[in-house]
This record gives sequence, C-alpha cells and structure tokens, in this order.
Amino acid sequence: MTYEYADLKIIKKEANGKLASIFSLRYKGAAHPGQYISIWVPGIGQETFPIAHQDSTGFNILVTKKSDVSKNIFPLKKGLILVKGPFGHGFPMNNLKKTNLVMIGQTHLFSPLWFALSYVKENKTSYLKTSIVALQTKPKKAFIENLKKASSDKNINLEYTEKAEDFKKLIKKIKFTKNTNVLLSLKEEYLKEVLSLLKSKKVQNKNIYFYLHRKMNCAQGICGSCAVLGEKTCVDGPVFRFDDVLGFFE
Amino acid sequence: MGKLLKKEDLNKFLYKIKTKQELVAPVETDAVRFETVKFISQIILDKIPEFPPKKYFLPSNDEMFQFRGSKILGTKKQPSRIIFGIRQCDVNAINVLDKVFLGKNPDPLYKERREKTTLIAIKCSKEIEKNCFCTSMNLSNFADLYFHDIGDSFFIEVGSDKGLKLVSRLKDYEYQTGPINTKKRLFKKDIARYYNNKAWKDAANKCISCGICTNVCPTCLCYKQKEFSDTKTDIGTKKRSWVSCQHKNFWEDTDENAMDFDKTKMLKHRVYHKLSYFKKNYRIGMCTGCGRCITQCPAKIDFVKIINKFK
Repeated sequence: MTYEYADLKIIKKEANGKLASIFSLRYKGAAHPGQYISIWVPGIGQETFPIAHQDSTGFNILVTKKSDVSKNIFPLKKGLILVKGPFGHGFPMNNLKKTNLVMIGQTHLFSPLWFALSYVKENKTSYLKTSIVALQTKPKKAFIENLKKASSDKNINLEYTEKAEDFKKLIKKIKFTKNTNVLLSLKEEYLKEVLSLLKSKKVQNKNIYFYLHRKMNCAQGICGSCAVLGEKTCVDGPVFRFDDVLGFFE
Repeated sequence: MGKLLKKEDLNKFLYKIKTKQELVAPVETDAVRFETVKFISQIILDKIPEFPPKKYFLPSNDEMFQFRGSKILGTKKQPSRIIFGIRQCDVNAINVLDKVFLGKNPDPLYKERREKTTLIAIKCSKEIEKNCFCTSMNLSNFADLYFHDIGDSFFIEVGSDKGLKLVSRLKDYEYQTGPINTKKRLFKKDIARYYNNKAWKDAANKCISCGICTNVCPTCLCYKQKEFSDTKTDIGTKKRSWVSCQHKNFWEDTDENAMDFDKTKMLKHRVYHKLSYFKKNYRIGMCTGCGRCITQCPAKIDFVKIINKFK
C-alpha cells in the first residue's frame, strides 16, 4: 500500500438536484460495474464512491453533500481530485450474459446500477430483458429524468415510486424466472426487506447480487472498519453474491 | 547446530548488540511490558509481558505521514531495534501482522519498521502463564534467534542471516530442544457450526465492552484514520489509531446504514475472526494462544473454555 493518491482531472460537473452532483473524472484504465474509488481530501479524510459510469474519457461518480469529505468535494468545478482505485469486486456482468436482469435500487445509492445499466446498453445483444425498479428518495427530479433517459430501450423496463410500500408492490409484480439475475443497490434496511421478498418469489440466492454500502476506510482490507462476518467489504466486495454471505443479515 | 552463550555473559552480549540500536525487552514498570531497556538488569525473562510488542510495528497512535496541500512529505525515519525476550506466541503474532501489512500492497511504515527490527525470542521451557494455550495453535519459528534456557547457559538457535550476524562469534553448540506442554488446550478450531450456540450470548452478557481483549491481543490490528492540520505551518498529519471491535461505535455508521449490532455479535466477531475468518484469507490462524485476553478480561470471559464445551 503506497500512501500516494493519483491526481485525476475533473472534466465536467453536472448537478443532480440541489444536494448531489455527478463528477466526470479523466481516467484511462478499466473499471467495472460495482467497483469504487477512494478519494482523499487532504486535511479532511478519505471516502469511497461507487463508479456510476465509464467511457473513453474516464468515469463518473455521484457526490452527495453529506459527509465532511463529500462536502469538500461538492463545491469543486474544475481542478484535480486525489484518487485511488478502482477497487473491489463488481457485478459479474460476463457471467450474467444471456439472462434477464432485474436491477433494484434507490436514488442516492443507485450509482453501481447506473454503471451496470450502461454496460447492459453497450452490450445489449448479450442480455435479455432488463427491468429496473427504483425507489425515489432525495434528490428527486433529476434522478428520475436521468433514469428515464437511460432506460429508453425496448428491452429495458422502468418502474419507480416514491413510496416504500409501492416499491415492494412493484417488485412483487415482476416475473422472476430461473434465468433471472437480480442486482441490488439499497440502504441496508431496504436490502433486508427486498431479500426477504425475493425469497418469497422463489428467487435463488445464487442469482442475487448486492452492492454493500458500508463505510470503507483504508480500501485495502486492513483497518477492519468494513468487516462483515469474515468478509472485508472493500476487498471481498463491495458486490457480494447472496449465497456466499447468507449470514450477513441474521 | 546452534550457538552457546553462558548466562553470565548475557549482559555483555546485549550491551554489544545494542550499540546503534534500541534494545527492547520485557521490563517491570507498573506491569511487565516491552519497553526500551535502560539497564540490562531490568530485563524480566520469567513472566509473559502483559502487553504485546505490536506497538513497535503498529503504534496505538501512529503518525502515518505529513502532507502539505496534496503533496505527501514522506514518512518519519524509523529506528533500528532489537526486541529481546519475546515469546513464541508474540513472534507468531508478528508473522500474522506481516501477512496483513506486507501482503500484495505493503504498508511502507510497517515494512520499514519490520525490516529494521531483529527478533530475539526466548523459548518457553514450561507453561509460563496458566491461560497460555499456544501448544494448540500450530506455531512456527519466525524469530531471528531463539534462546533456550539450558541451566547455566543459553543454547541459541539461529533463525535468519540477521540473527547469525549477532552470534557469529559465539561458540558452536549442539543441543536437542524439546516441546513444551500447556495445561490449557483449545480442542476445537473448526467452530463454524457453533456460530448460533447459546453459549456465546451467555458469555457476551457478562462483557462490559471495555476492549481490554483487543488492546492486549498481539494480533488485533483494526484502526481508524484521522487527519490534523496546522494552519500556521500548513502541514497536515495523517494518523491511525487503534479501535476495538468490542466497542459499539466501531460498528456504527454515521449515515443511514447503521448496523444493528449487539455484544453477542461483537464477541463472536472477535473469536471467529481469530480462529476462522482470517484463516480463509491468509491460511494461518490469527490467534497464537498467548491467553492475554482471558487473563485480563475483567468479566472472566474465556473463549477457550466456551469452545471446549461445545459438543
């Protein structure tokens, strides 16, 4: 582990509501849906951000004005950001080819699924139908507008709601087959409920993948802050296949 | 084949090897601790230090580096030192720390400290503490030198080139060393199927979350990072400090992803991490059987007794 971070240039900043912005950072390497980066703000600390999109110029992250670190990144419009990564195990998109995908997420935690969705669109002949179920919390309008744009494809179906009860109803409506894989990116309390719902819909644990949103400090699997049972979220995850980690939510 | 050192020559030997290096050994202050030795006569070799020597590799408040703006100014130069009188349990614990901090992405500070440290171990010839169970933990030799007390002398096993340099002028000697026995033994290490056993909750109900167990454990290494800025000099410092998984705030997230954690889960996390989870990733157990967590627990929680009772 070197203590150094790399300088990545901010190419663009796009508002995503009043309290969030999408930062596009110049980066030449490869990233994978479900991976994350660690950003260091000298004098404040470091924080991890899931990668929301990648193209030939670099990748995007969503920064929500919440923590000391993100509050210091948020006002930036140009310049350099200190980054380490990408890190972590992402969604196994190659293994999910020729299957139906169901992506279930909520507003400010949707980033890993944005990346998975853009991956599906770029490789659309490799995937069957994709359904998206989104729980719209804050920020509101921009998220849904962007989702609508992103899911404008005959093989992608989008459902969304602001209400948690309706969110569950939308999931219950979905027809899960043996050839369906589910990708989740939710607050842990919703994650537990959705996992229980999926169980009642007879979705097999080996077909469920979730991004675990835990505070990751060192991003090296050492400091222990993101440990869950025997797994370190930062290096063993942050994407887990549910049957590998059944004890997580007991 | 090893070396021989008469006990009456030990002081001379230690004085000689400690020139230009810091000599650390168990000394009695408020407790028996690893400390820098001022007088060789202070060294205690018949008791296990109550605190492990991990502070020399991962200090409890560790300055990682300084920075100015976004530029890292480097790490502080680390001293060379000899840790003398370290037991096999603590030697193996350092090997555990090596696996973590010198893995795929070595930690620069730890690497420098480790490279600049010579480990001179004292092999236990008998059970030294009633809660030692090291003989159950498949320990191996990793020290640079091993001293065996053979009456009026020490038989010295050489473990590395670094160690050999220190004893090359001593007389060659041959001696057959033997194993030790500990009364306390851990009879089961594969404890996965006992995860939901009620005994854990019964033990955790006694726990007062003091965190002594993680403090005295030679392999507990979890830490939190913090940064400090000096507005006058414009120089910032990044530090890491020990945290304990037995404290609830270790598990709490500040945002909505707060974990629902309780003492039973915290106790199981510690024990299972030591005996089970770590082995999955690193192929060695994390617990080295020093028994300190059992000896020093004010609530008298003894995970070895708990596990040995499982049917």
